[in-house]
Amino acid sequence: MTHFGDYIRNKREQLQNRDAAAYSLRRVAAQIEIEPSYLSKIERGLQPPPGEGTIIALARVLEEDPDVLLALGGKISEDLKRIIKQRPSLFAQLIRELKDMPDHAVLHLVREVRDGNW
Amino acid sequence: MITLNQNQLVVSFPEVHEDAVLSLNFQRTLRIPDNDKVYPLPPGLGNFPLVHVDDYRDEVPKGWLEHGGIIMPMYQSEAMWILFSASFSALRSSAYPMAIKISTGKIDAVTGAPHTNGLHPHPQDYLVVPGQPWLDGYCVKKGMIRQFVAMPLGEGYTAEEQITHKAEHGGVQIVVYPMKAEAYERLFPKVEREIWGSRSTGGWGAPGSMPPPPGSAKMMMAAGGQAQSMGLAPGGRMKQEIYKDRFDINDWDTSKCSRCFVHIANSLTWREITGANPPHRPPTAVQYADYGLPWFDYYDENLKALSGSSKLANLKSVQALSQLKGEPIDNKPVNTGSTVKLGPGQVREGDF
Repeated sequence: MTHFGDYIRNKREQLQNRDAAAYSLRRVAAQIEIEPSYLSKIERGLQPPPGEGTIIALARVLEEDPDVLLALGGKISEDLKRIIKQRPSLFAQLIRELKDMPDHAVLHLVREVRDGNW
Repeated sequence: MITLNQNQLVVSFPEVHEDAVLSLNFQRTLRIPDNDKVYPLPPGLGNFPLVHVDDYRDEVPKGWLEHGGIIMPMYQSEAMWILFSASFSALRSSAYPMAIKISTGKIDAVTGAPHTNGLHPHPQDYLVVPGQPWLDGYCVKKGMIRQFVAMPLGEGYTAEEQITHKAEHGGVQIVVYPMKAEAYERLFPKVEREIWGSRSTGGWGAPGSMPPPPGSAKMMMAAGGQAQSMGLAPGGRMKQEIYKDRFDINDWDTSKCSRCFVHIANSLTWREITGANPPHRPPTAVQYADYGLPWFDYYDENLKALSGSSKLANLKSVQALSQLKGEPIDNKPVNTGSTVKLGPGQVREGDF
């Protein structure tokens, strides 16, 4: 599985090829309001992934899907936690049932507007 | 099947054809004055929020649960129009044709007849998309509609009450039939060229505000208690053509249909049911015109217009009835200035 630090470093360096100044370690760290040395340690795997807010800010700067970065960082966003907490056993069962389902089948699993008697 | 995605109803028939996808959304707009003038098309001011009736099982009246469907908030005497956006197939240079029946209070908005199942060509009681980009009201005459205006059910204003003399259903009823897959593939064969990408017609996937989450506010409906249901009534005159079906009636697959009952809640009822505030009131037509903002005209010279329904033309408008009742509504005339001319695929939006 991709390491969180490797993933964000690769992504930042790809963006740096496009715009060296905007995606320097220092500039990215400043944009997400952390110290450059802390970001460097995260990228090298010397520090665990940061908190949810910082990961979401990092996703925005690196043009990444926040849910993907959160998952790589071993976290679940607060809104998903709230949804799961409402019906924990049902959602746990649902996710286990879906784990091997192909993407197109998951995408078809959507909620219909119920039609009644009129 | 019908799903709700960011305040749009998405109708699809994956069992018929993968291209058979259509979205409908309900556009907030200004109410045009009701006088001698036939007004151009007012703008779209964004989607109304939509929620599943089933998300508010404890808050809605039993009758709404029986109907299923969705809930939409409207202020009394607020207007709306329905935008149809079919998903365009670049491979076949067309969107998948669908026939759409729109009723208000189970009265067909094209013919004025009570809602029936199936499609009827004489008189035509449905719209065809692509071709018909939107519907703003009741088809009263060739090239002219009377705007959909929300009024409380039970006060005699709605088309349903004027025609059936009962305040029974309210809301909007939508039924969609797809074209037969065989007809679609015959009429729109694959274009034999390299396709670099596809595009969608305007409005498809446009982000709207998210529906509010299931609310905590409880409105215990007393046994037999009635939330304030709203229906639609005819408002001012607007220039709009309802187009004749250009396909053969046998090209439609009437063995498949998707239906949805759209319940209209007034602002107070919406707040009590969902715990959320409805959108702010739209500007008046006078305010909008004073800002010099655009009005619209739509042309599709390849399509023929239906002649309109005398039954619907004979209905009394909200303005006329409100005068009779001695409770007149705001009806100041406006000068719409020049209009923006639109053709197929162009959007009709106003920033206010």
